[in-house]
Amino acid sequence: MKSLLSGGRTDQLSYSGGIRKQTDEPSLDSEAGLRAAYDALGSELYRMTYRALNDDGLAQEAVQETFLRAWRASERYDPKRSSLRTWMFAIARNVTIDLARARSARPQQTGREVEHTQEAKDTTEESLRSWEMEEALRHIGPHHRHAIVQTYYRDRPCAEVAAEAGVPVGTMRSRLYYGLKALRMVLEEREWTG
Amino acid sequence: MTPQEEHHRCWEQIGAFLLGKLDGDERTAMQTHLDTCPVCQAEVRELEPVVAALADAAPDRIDEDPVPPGDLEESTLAPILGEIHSARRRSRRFHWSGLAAAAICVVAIGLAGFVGLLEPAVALEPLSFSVAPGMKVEGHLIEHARGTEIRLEVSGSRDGQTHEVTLVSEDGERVDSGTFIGIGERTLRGTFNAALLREDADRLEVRTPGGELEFFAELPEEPRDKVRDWPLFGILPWAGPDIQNKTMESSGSERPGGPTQKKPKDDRSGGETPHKGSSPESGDKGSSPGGEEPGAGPKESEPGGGLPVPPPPDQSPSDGQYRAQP
Repeated sequence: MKSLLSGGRTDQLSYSGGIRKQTDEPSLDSEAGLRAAYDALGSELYRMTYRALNDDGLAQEAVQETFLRAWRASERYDPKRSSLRTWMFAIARNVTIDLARARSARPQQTGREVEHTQEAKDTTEESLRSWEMEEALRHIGPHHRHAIVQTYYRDRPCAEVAAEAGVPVGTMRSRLYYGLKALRMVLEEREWTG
Repeated sequence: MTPQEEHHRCWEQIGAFLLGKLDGDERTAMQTHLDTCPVCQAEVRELEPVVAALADAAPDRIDEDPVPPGDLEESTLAPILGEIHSARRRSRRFHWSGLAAAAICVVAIGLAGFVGLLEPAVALEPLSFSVAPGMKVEGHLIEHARGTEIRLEVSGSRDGQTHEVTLVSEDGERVDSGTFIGIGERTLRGTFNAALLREDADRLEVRTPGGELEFFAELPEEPRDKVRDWPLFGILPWAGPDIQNKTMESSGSERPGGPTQKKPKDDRSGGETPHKGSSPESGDKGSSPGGEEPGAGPKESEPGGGLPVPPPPDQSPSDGQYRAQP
């Protein structure tokens, strides 16, 4: 039993992605601060916008627009209230939804635009939720992720997955439990609101 | 099995339980345990929302890891850095223009103060001259407590010829006011000063050192309407005294009420052209031989000069050669 516990602990339980310490937040009004922010958030922002927009060009546009809006509004950013990451991802969500609506409105006939843009907004928000969960799953340990994907998403029996991985079924079940715990921790770190 | 171990066994199953991966017997046993175990209930409450959220993810996309193109950083930051730099340039420029504006303000305020110091504006008394043919003369008087200032604007004066400006008092006293040298057709502007109060002055004469009268003006007993002058006229070299449209009533308020000061004739209070040494002595001298020697003293009368022999200075000229200017 003890080995199980410690085994769980050795897997990636702590999440260190993103920038969390408020005192280290880059300031967006200098080149150094902007580059630090891009280094910390650029790739993840691109993954998010790409996931929601399914278009490389639009995703890049969304990242550019996000940084531009953040820079212009940087005076309103209060590090005491939220991390730079949370703040910029909130901007990115708005930018992504704006771009998705603009894209859906463009080729449509008059009259159906409203319906389509609303649809685009819903779809985009759904995609953003999906991305949030997928990103969290990417941040837990590979054994935990494997256990959850195979048993939950592929809907396979624990015993079968355990046998395939060459571990006792108890270990596989334990991985499910610690996998869910790790997932919860990651989501909390990412200020996931469910 | 200790309670601790019991919980560990439960925890092993809670994940599978929440994910629906326990078979019938195990699930029933877990359910029964949960009814009585607050520790496991807390675990379930903590993990249930996570399990619910699993449905949001598309499992096929978990392994996706799209990498942004390498130039995204530059294409993202370049426009912002450009704006930062141009804003910095703008603010630097703004800084300088602000400084320049401040400097202009300081100069303007200083100038206004300077002008203010010169107030009240002086009043110019226009004169009407009788002049020799070919000459054009305009002039004004300004009365001061120290005497009378004479401003002349002359064109057609004989080139190179010394001219003496004299103010004649009611008593016939001739007060030297300075001299100037003729410059021909070009317009000559000069300021002369006489140590004679305006109220005592009767006539303004301009003669050659030889006594030849070039032009003169009779001064009325009461000064005419005066023209208010901008104080800097006469001080600034480009500012002329010829603004005659704006007239104002003569008030005499600037006239000093002090005693009349009749100073010696040679007590000149300045003039544009330094005195060339010609004698200020008035008298019935002959005409100059043509004005080639500005500094020459009085000479013998030479008939046949360019202009007719003027009347004696203390007589009003009535010669038809002099015409009154409008």
